[in-house]
Amino acid sequence: MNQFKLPPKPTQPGSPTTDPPRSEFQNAVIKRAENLSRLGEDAISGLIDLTSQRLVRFATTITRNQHDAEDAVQATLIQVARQPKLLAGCDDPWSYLLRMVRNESLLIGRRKPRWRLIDGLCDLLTHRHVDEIELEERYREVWLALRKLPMQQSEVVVLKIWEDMTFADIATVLDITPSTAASRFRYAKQKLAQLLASHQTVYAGDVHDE
Amino acid sequence: MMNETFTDDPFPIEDLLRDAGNYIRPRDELRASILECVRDGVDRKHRHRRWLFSFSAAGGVMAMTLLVGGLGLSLVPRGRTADELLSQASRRAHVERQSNAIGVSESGTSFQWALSEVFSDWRRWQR
Repeated sequence: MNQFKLPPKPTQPGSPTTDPPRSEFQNAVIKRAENLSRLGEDAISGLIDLTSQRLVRFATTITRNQHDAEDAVQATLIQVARQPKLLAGCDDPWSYLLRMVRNESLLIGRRKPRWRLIDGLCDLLTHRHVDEIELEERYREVWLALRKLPMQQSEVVVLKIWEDMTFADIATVLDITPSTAASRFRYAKQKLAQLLASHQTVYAGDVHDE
Repeated sequence: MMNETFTDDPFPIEDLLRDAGNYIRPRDELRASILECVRDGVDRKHRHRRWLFSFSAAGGVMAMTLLVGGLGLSLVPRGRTADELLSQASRRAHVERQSNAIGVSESGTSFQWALSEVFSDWRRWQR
């Protein structure tokens, strides 16, 4: 983890900086972080339930493999549980968590030889409702297209679209400038449009359906 | 048709991406394994604390024993050693021998008598 930039340091309470408006989810993460700080390790289950799906989704775009992504998420949440005051002291615990998961994912990715990366979606554990079966093909196309993007672009897409973050927030998580984040998002959207429009994505492997 | 939809208008792509966000979910074992690891860590921490407490308690008891023992030894009056008694007896006999030119004290005190007197004095002091 030391090979990468550390997450932003927690700000002192009562600092003069004006806090940006937080989403409902971010407020929920703050509440869970406070519970964790107050009650100790036993309160980690609340944070797992709230964040694990989003964290795994984000980590999967970096590791290109759900198993590795879950390893990264597990390592991060265990670290958070061992240091319960880590998140509570942060100005934005959600960004901090995302950054920790990103660092762990990059570490795992570096340890793994590139030829072992799975070219397909067979590592994914998918979830769909009965009335969404017809949409599954489209979802698979989206995920395959995302995996064909460079990691730097796909992580911006995930944070922008799925985490509904501003470019300033994304810049903080990824340690880049907001304009770089915006340009990466623009390029990513163009590529995704081409990839999805071609409609010739090849499915490799089976998807483990629920 | 799909071509037109995806390339002309950027918003459907964002909508499509947003809809696909919940397509994957973590394995059920993930939650259990995180909780298990956290509990293992907590147990290990408690074990470490218990070991540390036992070690420090044992060390404390040992230190107290040494301290009390040392204090006791320093406070309790110790008896005179055999060397001290012998040297005192020889000193007394020598002094008394010097006082007489022919080497025998006037009272006839030799080393044996001097030793006996030293012992008697010591026993008297002890009472």
